[in-house]
Amino acid sequence: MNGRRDDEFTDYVTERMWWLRRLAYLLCQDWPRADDLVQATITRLYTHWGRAAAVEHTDGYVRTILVREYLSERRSGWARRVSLTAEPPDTPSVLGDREGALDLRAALAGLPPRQRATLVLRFYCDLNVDQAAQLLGCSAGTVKSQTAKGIAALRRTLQPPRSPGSPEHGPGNVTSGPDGMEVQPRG
Amino acid sequence: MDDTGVRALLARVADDPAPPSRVDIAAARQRGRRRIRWHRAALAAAPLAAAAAVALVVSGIIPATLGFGPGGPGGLRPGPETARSRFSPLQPYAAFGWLPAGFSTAAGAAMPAANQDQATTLSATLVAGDRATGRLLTLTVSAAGACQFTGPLRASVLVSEDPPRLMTKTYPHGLRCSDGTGHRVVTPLRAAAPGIGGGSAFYLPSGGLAWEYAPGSWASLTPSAQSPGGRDRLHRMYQAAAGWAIGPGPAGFPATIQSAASRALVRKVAERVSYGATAHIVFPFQLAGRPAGWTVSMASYVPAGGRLLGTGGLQAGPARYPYALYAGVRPAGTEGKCTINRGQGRFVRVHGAPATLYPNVLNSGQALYVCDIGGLYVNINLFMTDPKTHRQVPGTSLGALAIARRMRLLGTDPAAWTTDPLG
Repeated sequence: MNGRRDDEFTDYVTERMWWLRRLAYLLCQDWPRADDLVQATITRLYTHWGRAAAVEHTDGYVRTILVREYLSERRSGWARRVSLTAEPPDTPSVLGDREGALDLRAALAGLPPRQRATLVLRFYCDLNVDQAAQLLGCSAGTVKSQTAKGIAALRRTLQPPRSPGSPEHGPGNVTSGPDGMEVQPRG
Repeated sequence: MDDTGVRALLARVADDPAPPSRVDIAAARQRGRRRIRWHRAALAAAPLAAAAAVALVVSGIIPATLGFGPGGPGGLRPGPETARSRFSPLQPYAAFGWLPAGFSTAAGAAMPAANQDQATTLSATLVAGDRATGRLLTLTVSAAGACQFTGPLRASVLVSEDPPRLMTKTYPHGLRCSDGTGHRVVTPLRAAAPGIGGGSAFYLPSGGLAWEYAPGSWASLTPSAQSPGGRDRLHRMYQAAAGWAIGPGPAGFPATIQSAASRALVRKVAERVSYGATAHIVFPFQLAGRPAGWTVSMASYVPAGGRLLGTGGLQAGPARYPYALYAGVRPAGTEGKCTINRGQGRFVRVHGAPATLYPNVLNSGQALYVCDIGGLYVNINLFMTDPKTHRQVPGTSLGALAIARRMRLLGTDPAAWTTDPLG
């Protein structure tokens, strides 16, 4: 009986692991922390597996657990004071527009957690305003304002005002780091 | 930047190359099971601590203890005259004296979600089950003074276990019990029942019973059922919500817990519970050189072959952090294939066997796993820093790896296991 429950749970998690890790990574901007978040999520999922498997949209149920775990973790003292450094990835690096990718990550990482979660839910998970509000436990108006603020912040970070002779990010630009600290890029 | 730009940004970041996953599905199942067990131990499953208790103890109407009459009729087990105020987690305080046909105290071996009995300093929780139908009886005996009898209580009660159906209402009385793990469990009492062993008794909303087995000391017995899961899950959800009616019942066992026959059966089990520490739990390991002042705060075990096997592991720590350490050792392969990804962890060796040591960012500690060392699986979790004060928990500076290396493993034969796991 429970073997079957375990099998179903394991099959589901194994199948959706890629998606879970990506979603967690978008929220955390840090692979080790993303894996911890997924670990906490699937542990909670296991305890509610009976209900999760019975609902029509199990992915939505799991997404809710993950996002709420993320937000509650970000509220804890641990997340505020610890910054993890990821190990070099074991997979080969992908060549490409690395600087551009770093800019994107820095821009996303610069958003406060709730704003980041709102953008991820709206534009990566394709939830509408009401769905995102329900998941985040806030009003539709709050989702709208968080979305607008998040997009504006990204715009500011990724499209700095251009000054004569400085077509790209100059060494003097200041962006916001993951925990709200100011980060001075090395130029 | 507009909506489309944000979508493109997120898609691009999500495509970052990912390092190998260190998510451990087996560990999630194991930890999830542990949570479920605690949940079940909360009697009516969920007095759901969240449900605020109104708890109006009416002075003069509700005495501290409800009064004991003469002992029970012949053939039944009377409760002790006085109960202990502290139990030993290594020596469970209670035992079933009688079980319905088909039920076994070793049912846990085939029912992983509820498989282990647990003993703490304030409670002893024993599970008996019928493997054929998934029906369970959970007995919790609390130490003297661990429970308070309260007045009216508004509570949400989980009527069936999987999936749960919540019912919120006001009950005339309740029991607030410390379970020995830092939690307080609130159990609503539905109505007075005929006394057991001379003490007061009450029906629980779940169809179980709570009774005062000694003055100021409470026990409870809760029937429940595990859903077999699978394709008819939804159908079974509704079926389960209507009562204890999952699957065909064995002969002599009622299909619905609220029936008079079911109440009589639960009562018969309750009347024959025996109290007092007898058998010791045996563990397949011994920790050498434990930090000063550390004691065992909780042990999980399965009765098998006439022994209480501590294969669910134990928790230990100093008085202020009694759960600083979890040490679980059991025969390898018990929970299926063991695969451990390195992820953020690092490979180490414990007594020559490959192991992986992870930082645990969730509790600022360390976790160590060994898939197979002399036929045993080893898992150590160490909680090292107080999240409020950021101070190191005394005795944890040596780390999980050193603890594992100091561990003496006693093989897979329970005859060679020890009753003194901290050495």
